[in-house]
Amino acid sequence: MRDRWVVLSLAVAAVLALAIAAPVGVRILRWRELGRVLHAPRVKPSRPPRISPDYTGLVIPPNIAPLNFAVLERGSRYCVNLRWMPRPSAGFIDVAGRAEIGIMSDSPAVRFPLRRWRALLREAQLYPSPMLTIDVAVRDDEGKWHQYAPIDLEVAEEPIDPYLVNRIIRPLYNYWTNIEIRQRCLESFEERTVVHNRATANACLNCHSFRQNHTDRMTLGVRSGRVGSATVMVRDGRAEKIGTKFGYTAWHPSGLVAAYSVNEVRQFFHTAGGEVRDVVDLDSGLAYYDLRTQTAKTAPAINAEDRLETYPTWSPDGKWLYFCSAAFPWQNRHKLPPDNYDRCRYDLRRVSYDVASDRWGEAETVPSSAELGKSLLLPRISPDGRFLLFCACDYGCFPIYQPNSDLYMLDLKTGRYSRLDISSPRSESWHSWSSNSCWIAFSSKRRDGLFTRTYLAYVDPSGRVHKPFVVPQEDPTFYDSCLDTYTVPELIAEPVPVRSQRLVNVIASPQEVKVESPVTFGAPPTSGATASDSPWMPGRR
Amino acid sequence: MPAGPQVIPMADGTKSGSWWVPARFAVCLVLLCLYVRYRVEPHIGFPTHPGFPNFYTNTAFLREFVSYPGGLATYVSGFLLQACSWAWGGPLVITAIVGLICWCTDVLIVAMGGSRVRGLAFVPAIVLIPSINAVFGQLALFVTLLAALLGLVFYLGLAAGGEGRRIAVFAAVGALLYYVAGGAFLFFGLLAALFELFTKPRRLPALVCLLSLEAVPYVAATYLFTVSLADAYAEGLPLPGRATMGPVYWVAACYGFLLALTLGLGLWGLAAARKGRPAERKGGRATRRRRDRPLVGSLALLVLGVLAALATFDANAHRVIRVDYFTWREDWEGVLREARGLPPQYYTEVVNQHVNLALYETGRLGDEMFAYPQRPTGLMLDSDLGRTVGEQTAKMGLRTDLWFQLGDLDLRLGLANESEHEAHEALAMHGPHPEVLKRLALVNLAKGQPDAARVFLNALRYSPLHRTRTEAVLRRMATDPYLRDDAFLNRVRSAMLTRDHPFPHNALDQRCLGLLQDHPQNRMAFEYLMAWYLLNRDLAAFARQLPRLKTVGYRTMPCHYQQAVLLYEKETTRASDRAGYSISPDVLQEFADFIQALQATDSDAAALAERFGDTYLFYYVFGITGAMVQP
Repeated sequence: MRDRWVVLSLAVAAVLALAIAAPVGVRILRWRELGRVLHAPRVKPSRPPRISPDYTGLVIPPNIAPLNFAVLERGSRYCVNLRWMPRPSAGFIDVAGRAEIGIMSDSPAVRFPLRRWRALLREAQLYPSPMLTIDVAVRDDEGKWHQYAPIDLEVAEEPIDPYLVNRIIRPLYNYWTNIEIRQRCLESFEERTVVHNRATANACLNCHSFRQNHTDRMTLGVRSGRVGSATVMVRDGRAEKIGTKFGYTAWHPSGLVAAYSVNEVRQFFHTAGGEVRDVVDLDSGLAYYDLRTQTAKTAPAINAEDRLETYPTWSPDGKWLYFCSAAFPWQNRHKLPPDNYDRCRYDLRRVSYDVASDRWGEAETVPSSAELGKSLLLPRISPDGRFLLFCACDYGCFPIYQPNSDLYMLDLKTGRYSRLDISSPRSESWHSWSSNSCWIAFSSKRRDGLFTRTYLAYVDPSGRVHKPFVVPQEDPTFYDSCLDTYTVPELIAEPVPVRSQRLVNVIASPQEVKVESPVTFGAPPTSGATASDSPWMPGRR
Repeated sequence: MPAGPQVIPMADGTKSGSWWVPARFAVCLVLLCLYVRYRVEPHIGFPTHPGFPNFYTNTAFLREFVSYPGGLATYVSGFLLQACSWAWGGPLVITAIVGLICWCTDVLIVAMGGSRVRGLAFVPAIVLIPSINAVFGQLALFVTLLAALLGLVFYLGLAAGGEGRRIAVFAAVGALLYYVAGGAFLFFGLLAALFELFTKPRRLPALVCLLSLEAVPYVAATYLFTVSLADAYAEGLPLPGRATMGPVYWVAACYGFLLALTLGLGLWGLAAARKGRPAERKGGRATRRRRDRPLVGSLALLVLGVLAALATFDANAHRVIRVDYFTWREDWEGVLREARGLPPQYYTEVVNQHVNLALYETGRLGDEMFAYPQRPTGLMLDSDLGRTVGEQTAKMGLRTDLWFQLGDLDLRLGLANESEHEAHEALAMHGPHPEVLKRLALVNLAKGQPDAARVFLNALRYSPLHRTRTEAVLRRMATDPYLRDDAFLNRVRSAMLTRDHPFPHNALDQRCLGLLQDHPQNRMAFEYLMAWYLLNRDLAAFARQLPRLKTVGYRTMPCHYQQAVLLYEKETTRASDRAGYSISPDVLQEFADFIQALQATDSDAAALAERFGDTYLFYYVFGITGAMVQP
């Protein structure tokens, strides 16, 4: 009996020893190989290696998750070495023994271990303006190593907000399914479902919105035959349902008021050209929900009878509401697409507001569409109040379906604006700022023209936006086969405080705060011409 | 009172074991397998119907299924049903699943003390035959049922001992089962509770089982998973409206049978105990007599099975699936062969569309289309979903495979954007079905968007069945991103719309005119346009398009066009612009004969159908083709 225990103990000890020794051994062997490779004679192409996603020449946040990538150079073995160094301009700094990450692999997919990546970035941050350098060597089929020019990344001092909330959907048309609002931690690869429409009878979920990058105020639009049209509002960790759907929503910095749009949205389709879908607001106006009185209101300045208004956003001091506005270009509101839909262009406007007295001023045009010959959409102001980032496209109100939609930056100090160089020939849209005004997140179709991905970019104090990069994924080939689109990226400083199950229950619940929409659109004509061709006159109250 | 589960083997109730039960079991399964292979032919429906669950090997695909209870069963179903791409693979997998269900039923019967009625273990197979006959849609439900029964077998096997142990085993098996098979857990819990109540009344475990039915899904929906409360209870159960394709009541009937069986055996045991005789008597004349007649019972079950198969197999519905299959394979003669003689109620718009496509692809649309049943909506499926959300939802609910069937024809015509639209609707509705991904890749390649095409192909690469071919295409794209030497793509490119035309819904004529405006030599658009006019009996519009015959490049005027020209000229008493084409003497003679016969029979369609039923003359007069005339 005793012998049996001895044998058993020895066996367990042997297994444990093997379990510990094997990975260490493998690591030692890899390091030895790495050392050999680093000192082996090699061919040296003068260019950096082609990698996907393209992470070359970036400025990255000091708290970003590992930038895993796939080497696109053909080879049978890959050697990647990541190290950091102070910038040459920082003068002489002794950084002997600094952290490095070496990877040897048969696969071109390079995945940096999260803990070591973080340690390396932490260490690099102790020095001013550090650079990351990635050395890539590839062994070809003949056994020759090719050492490519290093890839340099600059590490910014300013961190990015640690969470990103996206709306994740397939490229949908009429049938809505699998819509998810998902929170991604940018410091790691951790993701969490905020809410999924599988749990809400396939309701359309859209337009999540936060107060100045904070989750103490949050709204989410819900639209469904079964649960109706409503808005889920989160206030200080408590969720409730408002009995009307807010469109594009902007929280006043005080958290007391939420401005939102009411849109009569219609989708139509193009029979030729790259983008099939198009969207038009046959009518739209702005309203605001006052949390103090739990009522929705509007004002002539934001809901003019002869204009379309949408995409509200507040200035960080809460004194101005910026929005997009266009004159009615069509007479027949029931024709789809309406006449002159491709001539409908929105101006950027703003109106003053005093939250204490609940008073609105007169609306004024900031830059007009006529100046650019484009439709100006989705204004978002940096939290420091310095810049206004917006989209400009040839026409209409939905830049994500416009391949010509580019990002523009307006300097609110000087009033000057220009197209950002980072804009691609494909659609850019849905941008947001980080709470320190140093980073932007935006949606872009630049990779393939169809699937929207989220990109991050550094904005330096002069307003220059540096090369954007796609949000890193643990699997560097993730986007190559991902059939989902990532839209409405909102950067937030802390995670969403409500569990998804709670949001689902609130959405399904019959209890709601009754709110009468202050924006109503004209009723269809009752006599005379048929609904499809009769002229429509604005008839909002 | 019968004892607890002492023996849970697939053997006879006798101690010595008998060759008879396994042999009977094997014979039944072999027969079922042969039936599925040669009669049901799941490989016919597999590539062309979206009811089969998808399966991909990447973790992103798996992640969708692990995020909700019951998802794993669907994932496993998708994996298993990949076998349906081989003629024998599907039958073997289906037989194995049904066989395991029967085996679990047998274990349940023995555990409930019903060794004398072990033949009933085959009843689930018989009940499920109609569902197997439906070919698609419900096979994932078989897997969840099997998961519930396997869970029960584990429970019966492991839960020997005191009440605490039984509750612990139930909690462990139940939690795992709920995560894997969702609502099937309710069935498992109910059977376990009945077992505990009837075999040796253990009230506490039974109570725990029953309470868990309410509590587990509630806790899951409230604290663990992002699912609605209704889904937390119903996911994976054969409830109406939950399966995407076909009725689910036969699977529900199987659930009902198993429940009734457990209840019946329990009550029977209880009654026997009250009367003071053991439910399971060893030996005895009656038992011996029953054992002497195993063949009779088995034959009765076999007859029942055959009757179920014969009574519920819809040969015409199966032919419709074959029409889809041959269309997918581009075996146009096969399409026409299967469609010929289909009863009117089976000759759906989808079949009509496939037949017209087959006729076009074989160059016979203008000559033979009226030899088949035709209706004006049969050239291209009606994709109009209505204006209101209610109308759209109702139509989508009724026509679940509409989007799946639509896109191919559009792409061939040159309506690439419409094909893309329809494929995306199918993607949203049915998930990433390989055929949808292929179509989306093709559309994007045709539109000159190889980067987008690559995303679909990369996704398709994770399908075990399509990996090799997809990788070959991706390799070709590495050197030729637009696949400029691909014949099909070049055909589509040469026909594609180059300008944005605001077409209203269901206006095939306007679509074809737009296509011809951009590419006057688009033969398919021309033939579909002419077919549209003929079907709608709009001879004036038809005659206006006749000059295009030269541009498109016909050597002779197709037969139906000649008939339509004669009708038009007779009606308007004007000569049409025949663009230099002549009417053949045969058609002239046929026309004269038809006019004469029409007068002679006083416009009796039935009398004229046999001789003139395949002519446009007949269709023009009666609004139906000869094949549609009821005898």
